[in-house]
Amino acid sequence: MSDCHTVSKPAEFVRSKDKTFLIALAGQPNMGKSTVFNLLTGLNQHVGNWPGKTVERREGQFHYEGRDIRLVDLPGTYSLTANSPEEVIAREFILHEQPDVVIALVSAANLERSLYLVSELVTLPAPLIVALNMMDVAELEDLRVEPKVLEAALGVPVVPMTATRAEGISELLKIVERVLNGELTVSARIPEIRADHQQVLDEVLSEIREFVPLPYPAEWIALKLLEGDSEVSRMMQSRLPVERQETVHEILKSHDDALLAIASGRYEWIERMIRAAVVRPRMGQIGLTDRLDRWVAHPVWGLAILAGILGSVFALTFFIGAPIQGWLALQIIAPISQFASAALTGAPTWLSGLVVNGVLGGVGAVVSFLPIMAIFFAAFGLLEDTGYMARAAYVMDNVMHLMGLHGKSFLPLFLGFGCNVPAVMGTRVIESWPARLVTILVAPLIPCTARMAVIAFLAPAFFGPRAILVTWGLVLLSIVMLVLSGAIFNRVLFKGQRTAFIMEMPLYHLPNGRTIGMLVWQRSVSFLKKAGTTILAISVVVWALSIFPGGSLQTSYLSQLGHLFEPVGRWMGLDWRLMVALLTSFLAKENAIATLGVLFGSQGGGLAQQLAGTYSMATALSFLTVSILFVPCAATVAAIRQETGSWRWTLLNLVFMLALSVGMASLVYAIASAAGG
Amino acid sequence: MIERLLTEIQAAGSTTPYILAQKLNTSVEMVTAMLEKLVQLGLIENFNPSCADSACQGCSLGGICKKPAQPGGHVWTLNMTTPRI
Repeated sequence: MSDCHTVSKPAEFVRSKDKTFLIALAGQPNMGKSTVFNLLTGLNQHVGNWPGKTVERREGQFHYEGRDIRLVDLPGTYSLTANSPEEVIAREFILHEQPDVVIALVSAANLERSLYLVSELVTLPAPLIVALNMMDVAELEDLRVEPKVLEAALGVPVVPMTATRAEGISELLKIVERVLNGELTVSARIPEIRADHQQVLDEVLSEIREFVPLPYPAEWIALKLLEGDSEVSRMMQSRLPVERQETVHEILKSHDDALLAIASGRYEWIERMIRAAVVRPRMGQIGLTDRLDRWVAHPVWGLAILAGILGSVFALTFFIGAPIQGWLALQIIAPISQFASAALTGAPTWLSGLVVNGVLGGVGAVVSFLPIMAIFFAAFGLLEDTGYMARAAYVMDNVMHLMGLHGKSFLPLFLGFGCNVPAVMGTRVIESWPARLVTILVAPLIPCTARMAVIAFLAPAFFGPRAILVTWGLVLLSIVMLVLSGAIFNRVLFKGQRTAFIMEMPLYHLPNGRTIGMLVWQRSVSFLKKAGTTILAISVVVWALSIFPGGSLQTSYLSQLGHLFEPVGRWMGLDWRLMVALLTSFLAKENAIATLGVLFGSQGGGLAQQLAGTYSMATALSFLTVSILFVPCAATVAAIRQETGSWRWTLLNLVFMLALSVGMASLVYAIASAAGG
Repeated sequence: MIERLLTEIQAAGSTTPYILAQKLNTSVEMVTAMLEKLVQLGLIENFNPSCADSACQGCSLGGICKKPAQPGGHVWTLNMTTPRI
């Protein structure tokens, strides 16, 4: 990057007092332009539209030191390239109307952003004054901005002000007066582009100079051509002879990176201005957020902290949720079942069975793990409300990148921890089809809260205090499977492409109890509604299949179905009842528990304890493994079909998940059995 | 400067404005301003998942999706068509 050069604004801008002077107010949106406009013009203003545009035009008049001044509020723009009608209006006004002064409103609290427009305004042939607004906000943020230093660096007058308090307005007018009187020379320092691109700029300039119409400066037109400005390109196309057009086109084509080089030059110019004029709080004064993020968002320590937090959530679930769940099952659900059973003594057997085994056995078992779900909801709500969840997503993305996934995959996949359906639907934000497909195919490997609840229900009964380690291991297994599967799919479908994402972390803050309470309440109600509808219906169907056709479980349709799959179950150490529970989990994951509730419901005692008394630890570990990796629920399958628009991909996902879950569970069973589990 | 930023993003995988600012020896505000410029140039995109409403009902993590729209929780992603520089 070469040094800046200066451009003095010509003296012909000095006008006599007996004319109306024209001042333009320029600035990015939300810089306080309207406030300054209102302060200067009061009620003497009118609003209309710019000719041929739907963009609002505000114009007003005021008198100052015997002068009549017309003030035009230009549309808020971020730059002067033809990206929007506002930007075209602003620059065409300055070029064609040639205001006597242009006042650029910038924010002292965010010069990095607001000086970009100034970097373009200084190249136009109009005297510029920078109104350094929002000095109060800068002060609040501990920023020390030196207007005089900035003025020297920019080469244009700088007036500090706080427009909301009308501070600095009279100083601004005094400076305007001095510029109009020719007492202040405006010698703006202009940003330059890199030396190699400067040569290209000169080449373009020599080709077009004689064809540039008035009032456009030839240098400005050449720069805009290099930037690929559509309006300027169109205008010059109609003016350049064909052979010149071709020459210019060839130059531009071979330097399509000039756009970045020009923007780069402007940002280096801004950086120099800021380094000169702004003093920030020292690095030692970095806030709590940055200090914490050094660890929490670290690629290695961040993952360790995430694992620790997940472990703590499981510990909370098991040490608080599981005992409450057991108490609910034994002290509330079981007495209700006994009461219902007693009340229905004289009723037909099918009715008693339906209510006690079907409804209370199935739904009751699921409802009893509401405390577990509530702890999950509260824990995730707490993490989200403190601002940690964004960090978790960030460190998880590093893992996602191991499989070469698109940067946009991280959030849908992370959402899968809540529910796989939004995870699949959330992939809509990924434009690349292969990237989206890979994300959809691996999304069901994220253990959703429903799967986690099943694990949380069963693990403590079988593994006691070691349940935390088992659950942690199961989640880790899912993530490892996801990474491996993603890497394989990515290699086949995605050809190893990957893209990045940049995440601005929200500030950490103390959680709000009311927010978390509301979240737990809403999610718990939603869970109970599901228990009262889907799970109730499936429990009734499972119960019906368990007594028909002969009234005996051993000869029932359910038993026949279970025995049909028992050979596969044997690889995993699962009997027909566990196989049936697994199959019904396809409709909703919680059904695994509801089905076991129906099948074991009439035997008395807590379900988890009954299961622990029936099955070995190897079988339990195998069942938990197959449950966490099993085919997605029906709602997720429907979402996959909808999002892929193909039964082929949907079936591939089902077959893949089925093979993976059965394979891993068989392996786990073999190892656990060999270890004496 | 903005070219270096883009190179760092392309090499980073996942990153934050804070890390980028350290690499470029500049301020986070400067990086954020340049990121906004890169969005304007179509080289990176604001990440606003469309699933934030109906699809996320009942999801305990659904709130994260809405974070990008809130101050201090912005997410950008590299455009797939951005050429490597």
